[in-house]
Amino acid sequence: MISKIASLNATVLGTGPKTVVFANGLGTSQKTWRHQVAALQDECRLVLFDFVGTPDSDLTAYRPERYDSIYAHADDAIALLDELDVSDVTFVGHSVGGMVGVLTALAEPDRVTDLVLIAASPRYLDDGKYVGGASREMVDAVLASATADYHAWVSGFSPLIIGDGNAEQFVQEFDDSLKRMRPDVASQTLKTIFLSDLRDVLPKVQQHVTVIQPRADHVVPVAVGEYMAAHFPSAELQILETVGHVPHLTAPDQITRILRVALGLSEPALSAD
Amino acid sequence: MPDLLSLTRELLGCDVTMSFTWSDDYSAAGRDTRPNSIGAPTFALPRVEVMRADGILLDTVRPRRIVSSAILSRVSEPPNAALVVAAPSRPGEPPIGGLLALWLGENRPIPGVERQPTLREMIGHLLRPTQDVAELERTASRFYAIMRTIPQAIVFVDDSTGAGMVNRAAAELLGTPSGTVEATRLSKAMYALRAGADNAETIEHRAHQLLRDADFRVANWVWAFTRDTSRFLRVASSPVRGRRVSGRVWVFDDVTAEMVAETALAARNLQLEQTNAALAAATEAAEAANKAKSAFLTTMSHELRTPLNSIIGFTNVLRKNKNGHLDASELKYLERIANSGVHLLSLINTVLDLAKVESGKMVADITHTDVTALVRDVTSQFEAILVGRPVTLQVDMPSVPVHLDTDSAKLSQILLNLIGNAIKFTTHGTITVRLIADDAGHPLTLSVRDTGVGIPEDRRAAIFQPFEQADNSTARKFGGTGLGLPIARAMAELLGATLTLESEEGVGSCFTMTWACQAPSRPVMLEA
Repeated sequence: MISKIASLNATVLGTGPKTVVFANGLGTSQKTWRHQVAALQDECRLVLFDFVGTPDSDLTAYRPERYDSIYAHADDAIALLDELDVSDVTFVGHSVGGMVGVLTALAEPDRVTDLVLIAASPRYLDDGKYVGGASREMVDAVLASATADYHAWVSGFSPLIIGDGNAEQFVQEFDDSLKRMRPDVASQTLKTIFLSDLRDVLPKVQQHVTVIQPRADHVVPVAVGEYMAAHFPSAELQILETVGHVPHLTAPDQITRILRVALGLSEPALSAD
Repeated sequence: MPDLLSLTRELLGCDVTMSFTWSDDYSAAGRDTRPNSIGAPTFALPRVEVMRADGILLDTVRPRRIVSSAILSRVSEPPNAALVVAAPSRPGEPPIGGLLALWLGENRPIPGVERQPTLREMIGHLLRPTQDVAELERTASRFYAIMRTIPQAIVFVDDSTGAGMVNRAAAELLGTPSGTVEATRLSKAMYALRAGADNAETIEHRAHQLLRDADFRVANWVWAFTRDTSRFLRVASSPVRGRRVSGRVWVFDDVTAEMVAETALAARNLQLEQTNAALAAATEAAEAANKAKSAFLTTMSHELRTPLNSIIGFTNVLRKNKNGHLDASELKYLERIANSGVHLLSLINTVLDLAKVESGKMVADITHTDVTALVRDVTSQFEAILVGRPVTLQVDMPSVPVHLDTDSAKLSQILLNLIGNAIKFTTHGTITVRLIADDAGHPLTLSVRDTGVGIPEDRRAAIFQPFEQADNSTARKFGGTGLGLPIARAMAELLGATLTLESEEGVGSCFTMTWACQAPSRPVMLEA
């Protein structure tokens, strides 16, 4: 069997009694966590990896018929934890990486002790009273334009993801990173993410979950963060007064502070508002 | 058929059983469609290689390593034991699928459960129909895709029930919903379709034949609907025989466009044929008329020449006045008769030439000819006429003789005609006859240039047509029949040359005979 460490381009650094696993969202890479890595690597063991299908992963392992569900990525993450044989893991996941964290925590209660979700969503489509933030028509339109001209679509999508008022360099970084993806893989991943529904999984998660929700996120509205916090058996909601879907890049210190709290490291707690 | 998954679950004492087939080294498709099942997810089976070592893996320590997150998120309690059994397959080939069993919560497998002797056998049974179902599903989805996509209307009628399956195109045609249509509705709709056709009675008769004889098949059967609309259906029907199916398939192909095109094409062809026939008739008539004209001219010219020769001959006899009975004025009359006779004879000869040209009867009498001598000979004939007129006739020729295999009589006639014309239309100035030969002494061009009235541009082509002159007043002013140039050109062509004209009104005209540059068929001798 192919090593997950290799196929997921896993990086292990730092030392400490606790292990932090960082899972990327679509269009970001291990580098996006650089501020958190710098802040935590002296106190924790850090594991970073790239999902199969993203540019730094082993693209030969990518098969569209397998990776048409978030479960497949979760299975990879579970296998990686198994291979590294880590325990006392705080799983930090951004966006879809957060949902991978949820499924991993569910499957590996003995390894994963804590879950931190940054701008994650169990379902993007509105559904009755549930507010996911997107309609089917909107998603179809996004998928159609991403399929029609991927690079043109990315150029329009990146500023939306980073959010108004954030430095142009972040938009550029996200734009570059997303454009490095193979357009067919990116389109399929987008579709998988946008059409996923993992709401029924949330109540089964036994670990404590920190839900970090940006105030103004173009992709995940505050209602989603509130929904998750309400449906995990043990959760706290941290609403950041930030703009954009990638706060660990655009507001790194705030994320680091919350992580330190979640990890039980010495740092004055940020008031939850 | 007993539910093997349930049987296996009882046999093993587990909580969940699923069959699966591998799609690749990591991925398996679960098959568990019983009620209250955990669904049929696509999931990963990590560590399959462990299991493949001996075909059976029981993990009671960390069962989650075997079970995917998709299954884990669906079971009510975490599993504490998982069993994977690979399905028996032919020796040397990897297992294509197998069975997954989970013990949840407090439930645990009895020791040695993985060594149940009947386990593999059961898995074999379990998997085979699974394979069949998978194959069936694939076939069915392809079948429905074809039915949806194909433009033809297709109806399957089941013999036993009379109900049928109707694709989208057929539903539109019959006015029924697509998919399964119950017997009464389908038969009514089919009847209504047949009844609407122009040839409904014939169709009905044949349809009953089809229904009586289960093996009867038909193709290329055209039903026309032209009463209200213009529509044509090409119909095929054949029996469907299978182990569990007996019925008939009907295929309706809308061939309206094809039929309309065919009809239009047939009409167009008929029209073309008629036009062609008319054209052929007209051509034939024209040819016949032309032949008749040529025959008339030839005959009449002969008929005219014979008496004319007598007139001229006997007039000349009389003019000799052997007995001295005729006085001076009587002799003058005879001279006029003789001159008129000669003129008439010349005219008739010209007409005869033209008739010969047109009927293709003129032949060249080729001899080895000294062209320079011929030119000298012809020009000398005009010297007398030009005496006292302010017109000079110049001859410009190579100093050495130029020889050519040609019909000297016809070449002379052409030159006579051209010089005669030039003199006729030139009141004063110069007429130049020029012969140009190549280095080997072959003539290239023979031209006659005058300083006469010239020919208007729009008449330059017409003057080569019979009975045409540059100006209708020409005949009155200069005389002539308008036959000389057409004959000259025809003769030039007969001699392997072209006759062309350059002209400028008021400046003059130049007629040029040009021989092709190629060496003549017979070598031409250059006289030393």
